[in-house]
Amino acid sequence: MISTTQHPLIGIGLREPHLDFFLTEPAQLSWLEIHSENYFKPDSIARQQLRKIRQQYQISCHGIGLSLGSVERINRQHLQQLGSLVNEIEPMLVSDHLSWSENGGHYFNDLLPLPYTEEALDVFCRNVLEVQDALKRPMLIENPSSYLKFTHSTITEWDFLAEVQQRTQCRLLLDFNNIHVSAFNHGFTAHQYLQGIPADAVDEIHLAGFTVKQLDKGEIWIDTHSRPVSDEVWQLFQSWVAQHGARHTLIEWDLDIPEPDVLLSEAAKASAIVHSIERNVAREAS
Amino acid sequence: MNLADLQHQFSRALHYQASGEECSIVSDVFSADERMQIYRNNFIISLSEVLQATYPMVQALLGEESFTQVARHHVLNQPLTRGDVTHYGEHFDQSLRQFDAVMQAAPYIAEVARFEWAIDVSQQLFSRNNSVQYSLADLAQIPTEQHANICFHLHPDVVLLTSPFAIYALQQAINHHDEQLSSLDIQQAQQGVCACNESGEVWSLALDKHSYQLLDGFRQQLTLGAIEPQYLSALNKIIELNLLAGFSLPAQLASE
Repeated sequence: MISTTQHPLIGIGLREPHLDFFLTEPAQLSWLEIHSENYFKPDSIARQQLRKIRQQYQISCHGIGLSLGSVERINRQHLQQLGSLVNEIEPMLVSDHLSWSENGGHYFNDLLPLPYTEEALDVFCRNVLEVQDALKRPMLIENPSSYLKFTHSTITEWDFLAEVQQRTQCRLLLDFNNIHVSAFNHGFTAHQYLQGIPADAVDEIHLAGFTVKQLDKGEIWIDTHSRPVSDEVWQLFQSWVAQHGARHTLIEWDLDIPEPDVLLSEAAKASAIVHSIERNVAREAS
Repeated sequence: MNLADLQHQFSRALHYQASGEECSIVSDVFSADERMQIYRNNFIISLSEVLQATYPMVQALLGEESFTQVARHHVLNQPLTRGDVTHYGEHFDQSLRQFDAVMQAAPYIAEVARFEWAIDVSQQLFSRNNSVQYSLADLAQIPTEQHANICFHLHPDVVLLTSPFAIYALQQAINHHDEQLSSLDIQQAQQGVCACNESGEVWSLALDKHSYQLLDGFRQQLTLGAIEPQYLSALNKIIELNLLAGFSLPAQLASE
């Protein structure tokens, strides 16, 4: 039974230390998000547990390994494994990132930045279309956090993302923490970024925490997913949802993973924001 | 710089074979290479964490600092070749062997790594969807005169490993926080098996010579008649350990 305090659009990232918890405890949320690659092997314990969890929860498949921005074509084996997982689990959403992670057959297990050029746009759209054709469904593309810019970029990240959406008819996953982090690192404002994003193409939101790295010459903010969501990101979330309406929203935590209660408490915070906005909308409508 | 050149150069920079300045990265408050260093760190740390998960015994025995050093060397020299990390970490024993100080302090450490990789491989290979000709329950129906033609098949996750060190005993002592750890004779050679139970959880066990040799015969797909008779005494034990997926007979016998 879903907890009345959690809004049905709010979910959390399912991580390995919590598999037993979500298998045995009564469902307090309606959906969970997995890292697709961790469940590729059909016989693995993780996949067996996912099958059981799927009986209680909706699942979103979030990838980190398609390397959509690579100049080389999508790895067919990877795509086939993703397709097999998607066919079996029937997730409500399938997503990956505006980034690349492979070159010459070597993978880096990281989300590497793209130069925002016409050439990169063509390559990225080609790869997204290939994946969507194979999966026979639109996928969501998530905005990355980044720590550098390229001298030959000619397009802003938000315009690049919007153009990808328009050309491929993919959907968008907005990570507010990534926007907040990149805005600090590159000197733009989150407002500028969000102004450039077609809100009606956004199907999911990610919320996470970041870490401030103090260097001799100044600060760089790092998207570590190891802390609670910051106040500024909560404000961004509240303001965007108030303007555009609620979307499936995920609490992400990948490092120094706390007890499930901490994540559920963050989810309850997101739920409270969405409930409150929905109450205001209903009040104004009446 | 076109995308192919940029991604090639960026990949080299992640391996410290090119600088950030050679990747068309903007230098401002921070130099291009300082910004590249963040990505180098992320790349090395994320794959080092994969190694930590695969090699907990090696890490416990070496300590965090030494492990981190070897892991960094491994990440920079052994590329990840797939978009998922579940197969990453092979040949970590070879990376360890390149650190003389580590090998002098713990000469058995590379063997511990081989053992932990065998555990990981067993988990990777776990499957109960096998297509063996006969299940073990059919054994009773095979006439005695055909027994020599039986070829047993192991479950895919059965991994055999011999070592010049007592790695199975070491694992048991570490897992059980055994006080015998200090009195363990690590110099003793051991042979044994890593395999998965029905749920896919890995277990390992040191084996006597006959059991090991019999399993090795099965791994080579030898028929019972081709295996040294002295080893066959271990057959019941191997069946009890649930290491066999089933058996087959040569085609002309199976059709009789």
